[in-house]
Amino acid sequence: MSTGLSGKAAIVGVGTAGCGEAPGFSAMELQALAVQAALQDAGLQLADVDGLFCANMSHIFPTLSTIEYLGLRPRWIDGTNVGGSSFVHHALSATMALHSGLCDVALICYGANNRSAQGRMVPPAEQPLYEAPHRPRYPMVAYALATSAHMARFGTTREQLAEVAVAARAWARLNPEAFERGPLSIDDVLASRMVMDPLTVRDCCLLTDGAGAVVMTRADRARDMPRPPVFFLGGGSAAYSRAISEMPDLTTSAAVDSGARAYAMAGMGPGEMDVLQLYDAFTINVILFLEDLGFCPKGEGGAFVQDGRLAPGGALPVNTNGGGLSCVHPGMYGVFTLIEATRQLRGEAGARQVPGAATALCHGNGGTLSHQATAILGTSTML
Amino acid sequence: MTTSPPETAPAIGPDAAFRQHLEAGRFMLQHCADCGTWVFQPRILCPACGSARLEWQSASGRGRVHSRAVLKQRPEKGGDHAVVLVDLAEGVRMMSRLPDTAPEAIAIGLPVRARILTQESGPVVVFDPDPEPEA
Ligand SMILES: [Zn+2]
Repeated sequence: MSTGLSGKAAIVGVGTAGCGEAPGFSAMELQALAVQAALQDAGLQLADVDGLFCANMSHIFPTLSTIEYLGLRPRWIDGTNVGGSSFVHHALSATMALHSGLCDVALICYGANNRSAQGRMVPPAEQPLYEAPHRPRYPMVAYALATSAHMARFGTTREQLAEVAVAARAWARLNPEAFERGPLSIDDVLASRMVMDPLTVRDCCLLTDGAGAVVMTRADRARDMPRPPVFFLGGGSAAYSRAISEMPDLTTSAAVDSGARAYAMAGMGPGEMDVLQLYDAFTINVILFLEDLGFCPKGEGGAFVQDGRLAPGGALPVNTNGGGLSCVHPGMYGVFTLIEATRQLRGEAGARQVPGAATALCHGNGGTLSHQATAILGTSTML
Repeated sequence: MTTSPPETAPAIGPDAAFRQHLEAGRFMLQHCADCGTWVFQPRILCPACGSARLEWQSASGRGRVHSRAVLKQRPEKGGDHAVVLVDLAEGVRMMSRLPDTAPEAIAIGLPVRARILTQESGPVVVFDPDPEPEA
């Protein structure tokens, strides 16, 4: 069934702030700096924003605090919080709101100062009731369990997992904004500290500060904006559970459904994606999502990522900013998939530019492999 | 007009009932009288069919380790801590641990047997390797 949404809205501005370390700044302050950058990029003012989409883990009412802090008077507010995937989900919901006239300028934003303020990943206050008594260390325990299951069922190896981290680092080395830019080999990953068997510290995302913002308008208006518009071609969202112990199959995520919905809306398939931004909270994520989004058969993700396939110069460019593993991961990463995809599709990614990229797939993961959101973006040539 | 709970509503919530059973030394699971699905975590409605006819039955206590993760910690911080997901014979999965088993001895597929451990937060279901696993 056609939703009539494909191509109806576009990203017209993106901005980041405080990526890496930003001591002395609060989450709201970093978010405001990213919003300022995104609006400047779009040639718009704060007063133009009449639709707000945000989520975070630091504020109980993220949208209300953001409205108050920025002085917004939005006509439409969506605070859907499904974890780090929220912002990819918001891109679909913003397209709906824009297309239906509920708002004219949609702002999607996130900011956090995890690294400077807390120095560690702080899980949400409430944790699954029947897991908590066993003292699981979230979120890592969930991904370690999924990794163990994938290894046992399909023979996926630690070397194959390491390939994901090495590819991310190779991209990060081409991105001046990336936090970790030192050389990293497969042997380095294998020799790094085991944190939660089978995951080493290099299989885990960074913990940084950082903020990101995305501005969207209807497609007709987007054509008059200063920067080349990046059109929203398709999106989908899916979840079956929250806790890892309730996940129906540890080796298959709801990305199977979010991806299928996004492809259907865009009228495209995995073979037509030029560049992928996959939420890499842990190395296993990328392998799972490549399988679930149809880039390789289930169970073959480990072999698929070998020999630098995802790295610069490889056949399938994945996480070209360096991802959550090497670029930025301030608690929730989803908004950065949209920002990097936009930069690639505008052709402004500098040394890491994928030549001629006209389509991009953004994939957000929320909770502990709980919620999945997929968005397909494209240049005007794809309309 | 006041609304009263439907006749099928239990005297106490299933979460409290599960805990009361554990406190009495019984590991019980809910079983759906309508579709036959075993249910864990304890619920009001069967997630497979929506029925409220969930009945407590004794769990077999038999299962296998479905997956495992080991938090690496220095001995002074409590040492390595293994967390497992166990698939019970009834077909439900639960997070747990094997308190008396060395983490390196916990392999995926290991047959396990449940027991009730009383810890600070209350009674919980934990597991030991099953000395007499079913084939
Ligand atoms: Zn049922």
